[in-house]
Amino acid sequence: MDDPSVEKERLARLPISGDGPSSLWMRPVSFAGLLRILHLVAKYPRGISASELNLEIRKLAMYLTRRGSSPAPTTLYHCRNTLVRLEVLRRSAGKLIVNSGSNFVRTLLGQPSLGGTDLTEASREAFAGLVLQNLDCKVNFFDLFMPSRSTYSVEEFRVSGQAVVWRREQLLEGLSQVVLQRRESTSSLQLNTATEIKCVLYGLRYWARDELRLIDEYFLEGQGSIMYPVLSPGDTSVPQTVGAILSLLPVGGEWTTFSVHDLAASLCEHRRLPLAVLFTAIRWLHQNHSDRIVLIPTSRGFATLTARSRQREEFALRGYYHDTKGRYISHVRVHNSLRCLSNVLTT
Amino acid sequence: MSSPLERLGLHFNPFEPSASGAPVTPELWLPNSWGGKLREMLDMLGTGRGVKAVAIAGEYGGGKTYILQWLFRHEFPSRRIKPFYFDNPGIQFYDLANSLLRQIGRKDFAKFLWELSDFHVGGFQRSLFVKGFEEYLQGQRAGRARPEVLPALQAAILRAGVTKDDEIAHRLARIIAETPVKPFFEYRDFIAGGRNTLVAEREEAPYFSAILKTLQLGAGIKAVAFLIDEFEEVALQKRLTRREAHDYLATLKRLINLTTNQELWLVVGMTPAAVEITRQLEPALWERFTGEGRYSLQIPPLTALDAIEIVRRRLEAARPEGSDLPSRLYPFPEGFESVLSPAVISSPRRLIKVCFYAISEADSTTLPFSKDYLISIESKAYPAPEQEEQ
Repeated sequence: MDDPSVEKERLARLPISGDGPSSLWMRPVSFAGLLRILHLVAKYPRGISASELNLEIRKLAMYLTRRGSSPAPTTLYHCRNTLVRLEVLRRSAGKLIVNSGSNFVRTLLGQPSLGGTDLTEASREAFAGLVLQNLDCKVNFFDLFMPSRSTYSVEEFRVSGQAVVWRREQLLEGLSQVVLQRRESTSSLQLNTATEIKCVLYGLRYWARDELRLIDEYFLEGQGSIMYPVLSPGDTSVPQTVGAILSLLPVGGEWTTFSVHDLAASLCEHRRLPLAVLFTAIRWLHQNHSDRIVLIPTSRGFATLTARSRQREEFALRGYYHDTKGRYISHVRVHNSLRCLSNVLTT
Repeated sequence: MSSPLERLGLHFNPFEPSASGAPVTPELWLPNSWGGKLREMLDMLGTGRGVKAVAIAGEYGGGKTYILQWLFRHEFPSRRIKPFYFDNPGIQFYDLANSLLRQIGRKDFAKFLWELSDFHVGGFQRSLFVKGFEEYLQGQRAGRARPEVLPALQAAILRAGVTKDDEIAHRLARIIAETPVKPFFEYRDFIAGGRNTLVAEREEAPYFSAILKTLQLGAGIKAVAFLIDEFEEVALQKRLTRREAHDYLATLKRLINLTTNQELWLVVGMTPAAVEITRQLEPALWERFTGEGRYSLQIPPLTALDAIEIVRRRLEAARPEGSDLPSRLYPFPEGFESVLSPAVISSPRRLIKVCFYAISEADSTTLPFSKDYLISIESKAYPAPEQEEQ
């Protein structure tokens, strides 16, 4: 249960609304790149200066932008700043050194650096632990998922976090704001400035969803984007998800049509499964029972009816299953006779 | 030597490979589970007052177009309702109205108005009507313009009950009078702001109502029905601006409003996703549109009996007279429905497509078709996903 007084106090201390920009340092950085930088810094027990580090990163191509180019000085600043703010590195006498007192950092040092944007699960969990213990990250984003909790572990966040909806709202005179609101609650955050939106929506939300896989997200017309905590990959099972879909089939009758969005809400959001698990389950069902599964596509244009940019279009399409023919599947028709498989797969 | 089709006891292949929409054969048959519910909805809407709109939701290849064609060819005419069929209209109300007027044509529309006015024109202008509409047009084309006819036509249009508005009556009278020099027209003629516009700003709706009334009175029908197919495809061509996206819903709203006040019916074919998104964007509109769900038909998948009946009827339409065949389903075996997969049997498009290939590939196969033959045809037409990906 939410405690209104605790909630009020917590929301009142949100730095986003009044404490200036110092708490808004999050940017969309690659955590795989951060891990490589950490390993590089670890080679310098007495520390390395920022300029030397920049040179080394560029020389060894340890951090590339999404377009595959060498990063700008600002990007490297944000990488260093993120590592320092998350207490992975610390500054000492003008140099950066590894904060080896942190268990999370020790875990990260023990993990291999994979190429590109890949991270091991252990690395991802360690970074997630560092993010969730950071006050700025918590109050600006993650606490909204965790009512009445001031501290929580990664596991606790995954298991007991609540869903949050975000949407853009039009204000007067052409201005707009982004509102993040916990589902089934009035607790909310308003993002009014470009910096707030950049740090929270494209920084923290991006970290949580794409880098750390703490949350997943789907879009519902008329409601907004629904973000919900997800279990770690080890706790999710495609066969169980297939079983869960099939258990929704009624006894008797011939066919049942499921909306993919409804499945996302009832299976993914409530069971804390990433959308990818649902889509893999649908693919498995279609490949193994194509005689009893009919995929129902929708037009891309209609699926992105209210999208105003290419990015928004891509985001709206995240909630549709993209099949092997390149179609966007909005509904799945399943023969009710497959219900008999649900028990086998669930167990 | 007999042709391959004669060997199958057929004049032609009664199944089409595209399996898109309705066949050209005059008689369309609907399964009872579809037609019964639709007739029930139309009966209820016809007796009540208010919105006269039905949403038909179904997957691609599920029978939406077929149902709309059935309504177009059979059901609405039998109810003295004149249907107009629109495939993938534009996003704005203008696009739909324009499409309607192009279907009718200016000359026919002017003739409707002319005939309606005929009985009500008095005085010396009466002589104009004696020789008929074609003679009038010829006279106008020959340069014998008669601007004095306008007031008489305007008064007659008012008396005929097409409209109660003097200005609209005047504009409609001009449509008749100017037809000889401009034998076509578009709804653009009714949009305010354009050159030679006929309509004052934001007054399109009353004009559209007058057009509907003209059609109703001129054709001696009870009502007009708009059958709109692939409503969701409006957005397919390009990314819509925000305003355009809302035009889509605005068009739906305006049409629904018109069905409340006019003898206009609206039947819209939509995919399940279009239903879902429209309902999410405008829940109140959706409730109103579908009468809180009472007038929304979710097309059910075909049952095995439906599938047998479709195949039987299609084959029957292609039989030479006096055929003496082992069964009514020949060359398909009795029980073919248990050989094909449920996914094929339940979907009209898949069923028709598989049947087409079964017939067209049957040159040397044993008859009636064997189980293995039908399975191989299905797997060619609808390969399993694993095979596709290899």
